[in-house]
Amino acid sequence: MTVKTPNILQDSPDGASCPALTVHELSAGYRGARRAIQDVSFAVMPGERIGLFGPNGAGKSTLFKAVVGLIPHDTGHISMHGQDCRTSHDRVGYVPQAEEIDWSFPVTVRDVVMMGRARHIGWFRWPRRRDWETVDALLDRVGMLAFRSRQIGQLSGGQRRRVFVARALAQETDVLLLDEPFSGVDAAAEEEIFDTLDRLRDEGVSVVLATHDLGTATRRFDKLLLLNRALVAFGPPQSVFTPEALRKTYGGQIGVFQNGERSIIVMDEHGCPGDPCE
Amino acid sequence: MGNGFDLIALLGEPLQYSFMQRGMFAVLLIGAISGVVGCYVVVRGMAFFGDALAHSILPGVAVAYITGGDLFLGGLAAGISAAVGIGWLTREERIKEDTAVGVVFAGMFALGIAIISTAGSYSVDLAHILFGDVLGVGESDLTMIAALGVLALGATLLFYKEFLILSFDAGLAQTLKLPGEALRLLLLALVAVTIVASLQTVGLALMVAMLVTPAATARLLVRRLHHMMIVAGLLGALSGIAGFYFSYYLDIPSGPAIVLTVTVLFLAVFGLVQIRRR
Repeated sequence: MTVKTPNILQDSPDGASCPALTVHELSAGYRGARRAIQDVSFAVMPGERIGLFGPNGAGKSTLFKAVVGLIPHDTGHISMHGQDCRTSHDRVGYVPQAEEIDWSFPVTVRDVVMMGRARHIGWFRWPRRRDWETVDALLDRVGMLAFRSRQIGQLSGGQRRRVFVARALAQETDVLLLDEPFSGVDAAAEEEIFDTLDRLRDEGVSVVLATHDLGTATRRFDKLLLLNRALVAFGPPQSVFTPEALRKTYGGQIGVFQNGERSIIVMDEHGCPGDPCE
Repeated sequence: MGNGFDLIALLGEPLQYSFMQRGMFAVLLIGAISGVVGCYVVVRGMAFFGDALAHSILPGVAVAYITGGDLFLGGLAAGISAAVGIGWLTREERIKEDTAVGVVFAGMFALGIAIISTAGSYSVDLAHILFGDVLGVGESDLTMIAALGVLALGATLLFYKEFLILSFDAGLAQTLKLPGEALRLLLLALVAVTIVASLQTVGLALMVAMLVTPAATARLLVRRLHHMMIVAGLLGALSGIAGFYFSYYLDIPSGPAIVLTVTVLFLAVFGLVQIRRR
């Protein structure tokens, strides 16, 4: 089945509001390998919140890593505010999955956020008072200022994510990519993360967020991006969240039952389709 | 009063000779340098690599010893060859890094012992190289140690924030477009330089303790990397001097004397921290 590729240039409503992030026909990952993605296109408007959904192995992390330049992409374009990202990856803020970080590392919350400012500080220099003030202001924005002197590992899962959001903002970006920020986090912490993201949205920060939790999909996001190696669907929840699109994304492992206006979705614990998940 | 006088006499006695003064200054410098650089070894989990690198420099040192060449240069050449060899074996992940390190380290060490055994005074020379001979530190050696120390500490200061980012989250280093591979090699070179500088005072066999133990002790006490470096540097210098006196009065080689000192300090701090947590 072929998937219609949205035409980014025409989909932009007008010249005045140019997308914050544009990904055009992106293919990345080792050829033939699991988690490789092909021909993914979407655009994120300023202040939009996009939910990235797909089963394990669908290439959600691969997509993020290609956009921030952690893995090379062989074809496609990535641009921010119309500027090619090959030269400006440092402007996309990326919050990695929790298991990629050594939380016992001897750094405080402030030290972690300061890392995002490394390029602004410049080579051979140490942070100055102005940089520390910036870091404290960012911690205030994500509601973590009171914890600034804690060792990073002393924080809860949700607090760690918010500190990493502040670190991404320290790169002076207005586009954030969050990879599974809710894994290992309780419902209250999830709510706090969404509160932080709500506040950032008011400031014009765009967010793409990968998650397994389909329950939040219709309420929490402006648009949904369904991915299974290729883009299955992209658009507002009402038009994307269809039984057909979900079956295409999650394969046979998902059951969708129609009950009048309401859909009931049943899926296995890991959201694994039969095929690509082994 | 009498006790105080005795203590001064006790501390002053070994320092009557200039070669003893040089020896003490050397262990103080080495303790401080390896304490600071060792912090990277500890937070990056490179203890095995450090130990292997120390043993791998033996053939270079042996050749220099026999031909009357410069021990530092011989050691540095062998150390760099070992590091490059390990990098070559592990390219494209054909062999796991710790396996490659094990193969190269044992092979180089065996080669070194074979070369030394061809010399006449085999066992004495070998013992000095393996376990340190603080009395053999000459005027030019001390200059070399000081120069290598300035180099290592200078690089640590200049690249502190980049090394911190690389060690905490290599992904962020790449996103920020920092030259990750060059920084990683520079860090390995720093460890190699520190090992070579410590050759005469601590010896190859026990070098890893100088890199790991003061840093591990400091990590128990503070929660930021640069504080850890200051504490580890002080502990290293203090242990160097204490070990120097133990070596003199108990007539044991300087290497084991210093290493036993850092080990006892570590155990004491570890015990205290455990008690305080209850």
